[in-house]
Amino acid sequence: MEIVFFERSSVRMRRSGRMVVRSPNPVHSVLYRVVVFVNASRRRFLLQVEFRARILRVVYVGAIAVLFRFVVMMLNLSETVSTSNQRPSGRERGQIFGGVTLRMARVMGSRYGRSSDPLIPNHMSQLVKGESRGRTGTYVEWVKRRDPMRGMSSFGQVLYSEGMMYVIAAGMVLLVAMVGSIVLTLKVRSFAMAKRQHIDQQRSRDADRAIMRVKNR
Amino acid sequence: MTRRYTEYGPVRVYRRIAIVLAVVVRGRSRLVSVHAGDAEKLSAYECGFNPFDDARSRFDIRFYLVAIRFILFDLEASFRFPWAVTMGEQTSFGYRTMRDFVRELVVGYVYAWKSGALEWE
Repeated sequence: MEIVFFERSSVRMRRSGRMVVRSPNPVHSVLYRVVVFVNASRRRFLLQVEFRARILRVVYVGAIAVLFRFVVMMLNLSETVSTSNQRPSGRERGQIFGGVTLRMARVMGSRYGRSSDPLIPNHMSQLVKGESRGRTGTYVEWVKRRDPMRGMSSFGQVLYSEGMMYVIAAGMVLLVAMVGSIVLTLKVRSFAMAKRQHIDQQRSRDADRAIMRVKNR
Repeated sequence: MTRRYTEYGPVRVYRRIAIVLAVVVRGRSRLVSVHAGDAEKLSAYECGFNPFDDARSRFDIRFYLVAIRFILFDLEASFRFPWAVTMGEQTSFGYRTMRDFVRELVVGYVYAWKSGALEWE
């Protein structure tokens, strides 16, 4: 039953991803992107990574899609841009199809291959046991450390201690995004501020201070 | 469905209510109201003359700034969720990590405040 849901959302993702590229109207492309993200989130939910599913919806559907809409609407595009001449040729189509098929085959082979634990994908189980191509060394066994019952708390157990640098780095990225967006629009802003009307200053002026005598030199 | 989705039962109830409500609202207005649209009725109306240009016009970059700020604090909230859930299992290190993360954002917020990006006009 789950695999049916999983494959169905995969198919929807692929179809709407295709429509993102194909749709003549860029606003419609953004809306198809939302469908892609919702189905990606559904797939993660079925893979039992609920926190990431939730984050995908909050961040990508809620925020990034809005930003893309803004960008699209600010671009001042005309009503319809024909994409008929932008279709890939047969050769390019073959290359894309072949590449995707090869990648999928590799992923499927590694995932449904010889995995001792059905809950852990094969490449991850190799990582856990440290037998990945004879590599040994210090590593953290994330899969064993996580609490299998709750996805979000398994995230929180490691993110704020072992993954501290990533949290701080994410904060830096957010800071740069905020400062950068302000800096990029500051020139327009200061121009607007120069012409601003200060009502309180106007109303607090009186004739005694506004009209003054200038001494002759 | 297997056992582990039973805790999402209330969500499913809400989802059904939402779907039924949407169908009822849209379906009733579709059934009850009169539909006699023609080309003139469905075209964009602009005070009796043909519209000058496209309805989709460019707008101020400041809307984008507002959206950026929304995303920043949206992300901050999503960083807080797992932190809040695992408060009991963390040491003071986790607390300080979150504190520094929030401090970084506060620096950006103070910058936005001082540079006048929070004011509209």
